[in-house]
Amino acid sequence: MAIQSLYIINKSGGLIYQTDFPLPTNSSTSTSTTTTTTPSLTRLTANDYLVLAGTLHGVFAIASRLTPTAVKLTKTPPPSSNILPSYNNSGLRCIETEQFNLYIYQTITGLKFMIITTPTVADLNYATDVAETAMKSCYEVYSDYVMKDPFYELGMPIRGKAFERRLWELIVGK
Amino acid sequence: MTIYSFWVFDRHCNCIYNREWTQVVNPSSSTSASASSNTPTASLTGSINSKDNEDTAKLLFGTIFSLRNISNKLSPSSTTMTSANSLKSFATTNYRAHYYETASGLKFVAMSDLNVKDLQKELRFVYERIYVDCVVRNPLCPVDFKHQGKKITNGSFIHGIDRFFGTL
Repeated sequence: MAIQSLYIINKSGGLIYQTDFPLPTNSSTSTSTTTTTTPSLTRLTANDYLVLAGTLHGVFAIASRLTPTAVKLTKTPPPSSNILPSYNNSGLRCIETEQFNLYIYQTITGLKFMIITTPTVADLNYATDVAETAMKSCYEVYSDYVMKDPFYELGMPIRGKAFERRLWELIVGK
Repeated sequence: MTIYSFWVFDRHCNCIYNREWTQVVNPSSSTSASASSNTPTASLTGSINSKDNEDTAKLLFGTIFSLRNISNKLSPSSTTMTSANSLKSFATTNYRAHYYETASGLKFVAMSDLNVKDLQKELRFVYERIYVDCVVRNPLCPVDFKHQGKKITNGSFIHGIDRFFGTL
């Protein structure tokens, strides 16, 4: 499970940050792996990314409306004791496809972090927890390097170089 | 392992079958498959083709449709065979929805609890063994569910679905 892409969506469904990360490749077969075994995601146009973010923002809300009656009757939301819990009580959390997995993490202010990873072979519930931990780390970077930036306007696209550098250090490790 | 509901959408985007199990099946009650097929057990409660589910069906179809488009858009250019069926499931904190689409555009959706890993094979089985046998090969069933609100009311299909998901 390698992180391929990160999206940050503000509380009204606008995309404020999007980046693709290079997949870790073996140094011996660096030329062939990118094309054959680990295909990366298709690059879309900037407009397509905005549409995608908006769609997911809507689907996120719809998914919580779809909760089956049987669950509504019996289940209570599990108590979260950990630091920075996901405030995603009933919305969309994980999407599994043949080519990639997508995970969504929501903060208390309605900001959504989404990461796309390569398909996992591990248990999906476990993978979701791992992905959520990774997104929490991104949230910490966001709090430090975006929220404390005096020139940043809330809800606007993130352009800070420090944030980007710190994020790459975190995910890619260089 | 709990299955909450099961949905079939045809290629005209209409929901042609929906089944919601409201009472959770006890694992102890379904110990023998023969017992569940003869006597109505807890798994047989719930609603079949309920009118209350019309809006839910539309919402579910919209969700599936959007997610499928997103997954096709982002997927690296692959063969056309796999791209039709690239979406496998999506999950919230409360449930997981499994998705299977046939080449003819029929969509099968099953909602389950989060501990169910993968229902692709099961949904494929439902299509191959239950849908094809009871609906496609049934001369009394319409070929195309063109009219809004037309549903599968075939007794053997309903029974087959209940029996199959009862054994899971």
